[in-house]
Amino acid sequence: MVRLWLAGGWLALLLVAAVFAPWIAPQDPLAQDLFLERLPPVWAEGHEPGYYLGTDSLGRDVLSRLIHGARIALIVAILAGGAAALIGSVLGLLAGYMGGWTDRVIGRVIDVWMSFPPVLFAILLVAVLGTGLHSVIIAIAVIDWTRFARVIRAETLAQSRMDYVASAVVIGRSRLGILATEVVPNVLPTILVLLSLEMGIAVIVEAILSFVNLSISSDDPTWGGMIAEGRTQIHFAPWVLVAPMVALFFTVLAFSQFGEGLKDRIDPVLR
Amino acid sequence: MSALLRIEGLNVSVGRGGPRLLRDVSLSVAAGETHGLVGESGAGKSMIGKAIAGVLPRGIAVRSGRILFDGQDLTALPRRARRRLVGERIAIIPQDPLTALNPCRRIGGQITDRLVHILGWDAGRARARAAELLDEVAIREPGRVMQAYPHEVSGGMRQRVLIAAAFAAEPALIIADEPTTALDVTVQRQVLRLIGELQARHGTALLFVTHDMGVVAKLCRSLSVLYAGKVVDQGPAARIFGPDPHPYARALIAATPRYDRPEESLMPVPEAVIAALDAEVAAADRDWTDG
Repeated sequence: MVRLWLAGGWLALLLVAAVFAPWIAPQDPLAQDLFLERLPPVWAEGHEPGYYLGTDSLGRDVLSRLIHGARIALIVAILAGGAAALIGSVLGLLAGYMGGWTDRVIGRVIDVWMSFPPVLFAILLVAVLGTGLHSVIIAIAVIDWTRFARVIRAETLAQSRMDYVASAVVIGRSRLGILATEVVPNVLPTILVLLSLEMGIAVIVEAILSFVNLSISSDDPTWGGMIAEGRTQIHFAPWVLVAPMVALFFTVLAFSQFGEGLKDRIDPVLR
Repeated sequence: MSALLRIEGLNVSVGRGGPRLLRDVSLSVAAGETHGLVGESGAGKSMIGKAIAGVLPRGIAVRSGRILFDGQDLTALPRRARRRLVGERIAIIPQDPLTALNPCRRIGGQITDRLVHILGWDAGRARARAAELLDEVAIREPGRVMQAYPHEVSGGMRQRVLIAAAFAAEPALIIADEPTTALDVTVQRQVLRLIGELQARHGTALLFVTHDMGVVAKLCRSLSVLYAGKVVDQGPAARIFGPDPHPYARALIAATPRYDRPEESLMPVPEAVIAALDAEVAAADRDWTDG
């Protein structure tokens, strides 16, 4: 319960920061000021008022970039995670419930898909689709739907062997009806948990793609881009690297813990 | 007396030419009568019930034989007509009350499913009937139980709910697939008595699947003893439990714990009996070719 609230609290904070970024951020995230380069954070000596987490090598405010970066991180998490969940769950449900050749075809596609190294696959896809946020989102969804499909297929298979599915068959309910009332509600907790995990993964993948400069333009603040820039400054201004890494770490942790907490909460058997 | 359910030469196998799970099974159940299906686990008892209801697991199918229900051959009926007939007239009390109720749905809806989907009752009427049924299976607060989720009530209560659901649409035949196996002994007795009472009141025929000879002795007028999917003995309970039973039936009776005579030790089925049965099964398989 505690972890659900802690993780949910962090995610809520992030959401507020992302939605209201232009009003919350103390500085313009893109404004460069070479007179204010590599300012230390507010608790260190030599800081300037208004620059709470210091500045990077171009004099841009780290906190403001972090807040604007949360926007991109969350957009990717929600859209890419949601799309992967949708594609994967639908295919997983189909494969698990229909069985037969549907299952065999989807199963083989999953096997083939998962044999590609995911990050390499993502880089390849983005290279083909062209850099940009939409490519990142598409790439993550196209790669990670298998995470959902595989697990949901197995859960659906287990569900469709349950006696309550058999009795629904006996009383002549339609396949779609059985899927909707007997199967989907029972796999929904799993979908939500996976979605939460996937959102964390999407944030990381976006950061990796930003790190190798395949996400949106390097001016725009992304956590991965900030880490890439911070890396070159690690000896002079470690906070430029540390701040986005901490944000990334807590966000991914929060997503996974939120998913686990949610499972305990919504699974009627565990409740 | 004409039979409500008559199975003739039923063969069920895994895939075409695969191993046979039911070997030329024939049996009949008259309206309002109780027929016991006994045998060890894996003998194919549940498979018979599944074949009748048309919910055989994937890859397992009826190869030959007829399942006549009220004069109609279920295996020959088109899918839709069969579902309708089975849905209206045959119900199942499943073995495990844990997996038989959907954990995500309230109990009330799971009892009324059959009434709403098959008989086309409106929700209010179905709910009133469900409350009545729960009352009939001795559940004290039907209203509260109908609002509850399955995990919120005890195992015995879940089994009562399933019994109520089975009797809901006044079926002509109920297949009780080891309805007491997952329950503890005291609850077992109550549930058995309950099924007996309801059956007598509603005039329902019962196909009672169990491995417990004690239960069969109490409940069934006639029974079939199965071994490896083959009926090895069949007849009125009075004869099978009489002075000169089939050796296998005798062995099964000897292997049943008697709470009233704990000093008698349980006897495993003798090797010789098993060997004779295996020979019988092998002989039957030699004559059988998969059409």
